Amino acid sequence: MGLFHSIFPIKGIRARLLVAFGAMLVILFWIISFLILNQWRRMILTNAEEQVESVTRAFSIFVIETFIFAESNQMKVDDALDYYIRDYLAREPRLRYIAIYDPQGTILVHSDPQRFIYTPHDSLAPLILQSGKALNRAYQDADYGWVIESAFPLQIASKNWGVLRMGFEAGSVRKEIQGLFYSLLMFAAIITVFALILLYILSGYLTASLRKLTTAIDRFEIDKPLNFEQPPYEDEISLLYQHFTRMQNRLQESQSKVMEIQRQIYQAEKLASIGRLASGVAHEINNPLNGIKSCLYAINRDPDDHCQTAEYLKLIDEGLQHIETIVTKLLGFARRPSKSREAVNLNEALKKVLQLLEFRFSQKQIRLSLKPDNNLPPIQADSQLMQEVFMNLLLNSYDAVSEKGHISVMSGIEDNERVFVRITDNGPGIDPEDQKKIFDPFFTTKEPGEGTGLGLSVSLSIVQAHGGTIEVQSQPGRGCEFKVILPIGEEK
Amino acid sequence: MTVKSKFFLTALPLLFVLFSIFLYERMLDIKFTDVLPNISGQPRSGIGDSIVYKIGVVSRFSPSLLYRGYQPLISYLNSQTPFHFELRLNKTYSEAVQQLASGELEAAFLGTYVFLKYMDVQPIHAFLAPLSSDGQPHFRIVLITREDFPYKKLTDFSGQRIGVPSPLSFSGNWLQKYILPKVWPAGMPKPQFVSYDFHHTVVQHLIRNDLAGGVVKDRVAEEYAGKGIRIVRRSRYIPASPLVRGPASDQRVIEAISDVLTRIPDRKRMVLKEWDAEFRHGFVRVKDQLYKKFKQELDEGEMSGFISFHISH
Ligand SMILES: Nc1ncnc2c1ncn2[C@@H]1O[C@H](COP(=O)(O)OP(=O)(O)OP(=O)(O)O)[C@@H](O)[C@H]1O
Ligand SMILES: [Mg+2]
Repeated sequence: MGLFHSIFPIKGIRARLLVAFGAMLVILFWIISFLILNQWRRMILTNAEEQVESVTRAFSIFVIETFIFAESNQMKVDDALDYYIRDYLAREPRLRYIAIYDPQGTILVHSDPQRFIYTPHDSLAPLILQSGKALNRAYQDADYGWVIESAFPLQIASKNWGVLRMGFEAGSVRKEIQGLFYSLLMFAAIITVFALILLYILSGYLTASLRKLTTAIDRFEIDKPLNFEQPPYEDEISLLYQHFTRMQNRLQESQSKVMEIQRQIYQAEKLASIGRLASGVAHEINNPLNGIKSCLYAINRDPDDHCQTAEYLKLIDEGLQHIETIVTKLLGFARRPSKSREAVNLNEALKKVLQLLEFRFSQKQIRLSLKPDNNLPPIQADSQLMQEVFMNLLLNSYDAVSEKGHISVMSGIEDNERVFVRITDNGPGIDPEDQKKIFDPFFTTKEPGEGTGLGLSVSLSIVQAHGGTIEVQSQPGRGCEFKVILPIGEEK
Repeated sequence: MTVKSKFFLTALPLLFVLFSIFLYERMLDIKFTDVLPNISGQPRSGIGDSIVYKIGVVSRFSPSLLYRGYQPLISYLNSQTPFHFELRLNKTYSEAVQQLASGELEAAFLGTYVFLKYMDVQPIHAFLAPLSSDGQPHFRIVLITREDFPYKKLTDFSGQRIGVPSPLSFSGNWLQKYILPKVWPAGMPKPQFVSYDFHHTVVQHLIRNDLAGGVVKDRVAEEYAGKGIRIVRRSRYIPASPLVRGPASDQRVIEAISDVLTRIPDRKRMVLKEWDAEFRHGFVRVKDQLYKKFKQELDEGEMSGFISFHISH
């Protein structure tokens, strides 16, 4: 198959089979034509030879009669024969020459006087007479062209008069064979061409559905049925189609499973964020609550000191107001994320998140530098989810930097097509090994109870759902940089 | 497309064309030569003897046909005797008789009719005669008709055509000259006699319905047995056509011929098949006496039945 394939670079198994079969058929046909040609050629030759021999035999009777006549009349035989031979030669257009030799092989008569001189002896004459049979041959002569000759013994019983040689032109015999050769060649060529055309059409017909299927697969989308007209008959291609549809179904199933899990992860992350927030919130609420508690304690101990009471009440009010803001913000963050798309200014979203984290940052004495691009165009996005992404990234940086660390946040436009938000910190950075894994769900380097490992994975899926990406750059020991890139998109 | 496949795609058609050309050349080269059979021994002809003994024969057959019948016999003589014989064709019986008498011919095949005619006027003598199938040197003449001809008596042929062979044979004369004058009723129209060159032609014409009857040698009629003819009359036995010698014939040569032809050994019987039908059953020595006696009977008209012959000179 290797050699065959290198000769005929054909891909389809069936087409290959057909070509091999066709080639065999053609070769077989050529061999058959050759055999027929050979057989016919033999028949033509035998026929011509027999014809020549029978004419010579018939003429030999006449020659013998002339010999006997000449003998009984004491005539010279060559005189009598010469006239008849030339007369016969003139009346038989295919006859080239007649020659008569005596039993010893000496020439007696030749229709061509030149030949009489140049071929005076026939060494075969005694042998032919001895055998008593005609000796035939075909040969090419310089003057006569192709000739079939019969050398016939002039003989009755033991009485020998000599040998008669008659040569007939054989050009017509060759023409006949030539004609046969050409017609068989033509026939074989026509059959070959016909077989090849048939083969071409047949193989094209066979591979057409296969080609249709491949183009259909090229345009394939996982949630749409394959745009392919199944062939009406059962063959390998319809089988392939069936298997492909089954695979598509399995893909669809696993995709919906993935989406379900993703949804669960969102939910889990939501809860986790809330939990983490809650601990922060509890901390934040605890401070004013402690203040309120000590104020109430002081008022209760000395209720009549109105001046002091008024002062404490004012402090209590401040504390409550602080708690109220925190709760309000918390409520806003905890609202179930809707998949609604609206025009979102990422600078605004950033500010909201940073407000929530302000207290924490100040406690850890983190230096925050914010450089928002004021020309940032709004993008089509879910504001809540965007806030969640920033919250996650900022919390990670918060976790990473030490006391009095530095976090910088900036936004901007890239190539007039995309907006970005870059969060940089001077924490320990991420070592190259871990960089590959940080977006995996539940990958965390943090102590149990401190990190779930969901933050980045959820953030990435949110950003990707908006058609964007998150890029990470980190130099271990110096900090790291997270860049959220989102397409601007058309105003709908 | 790989280099290999390119090579094959150009080499294959080229190979094919070359092969076709080769085939074409081979098919059109019609040269051949028969192979000579491997023959050992000497050529058959015994040319080289100083004296050639000529044996005459007269026939209306073409020379080559005659040679086919007689040459095998001559060849046999050449192979069995120390002498060299050759056939000599004579145009007429009188020429043959003359050449016999002059010694130019050593011997000659003559018909009985002709021998009887010349035996008294020329010094020629019968010495051999062929045998018929019953082992005797004689034959009969028969009158034949087609099987469907309702023959009862000779007068049924009144006004009909009867085929006969050469007038220089007994068959050619028998009915016409020797029978009818004696038995035909006066006043009745005689049959019309048509002459043919050969006995066989008479039978052929009879079968073809050109004739009502025919007169031929019994041997020829028997050849056609079962082919639509029947024999209705037979003549008495007539001495067979003899092999005749002249006055100057070499006695040794005549003796050698007689000896060889009368004693053909059984293992050589096969050669007889090639010979003229007349000689198939071999020969026997005869004397002039046989023919003289027959002639006497003819002259006296003492023939059995109604058969009688007259020889006119
Ligand atoms: N700014 C950063 N500097 C150094 N390492 C970081 C930074 N951001 C993320 N990481 C590494 O990536 C890991 C995964 O972060 P991710 O936000 O997914 O989970 P987590 O912060 O550990 O837990 P959580 O679910 O609470 O966010 C972290 O555990 C940390 O090792
Ligand atoms: Mg995190």
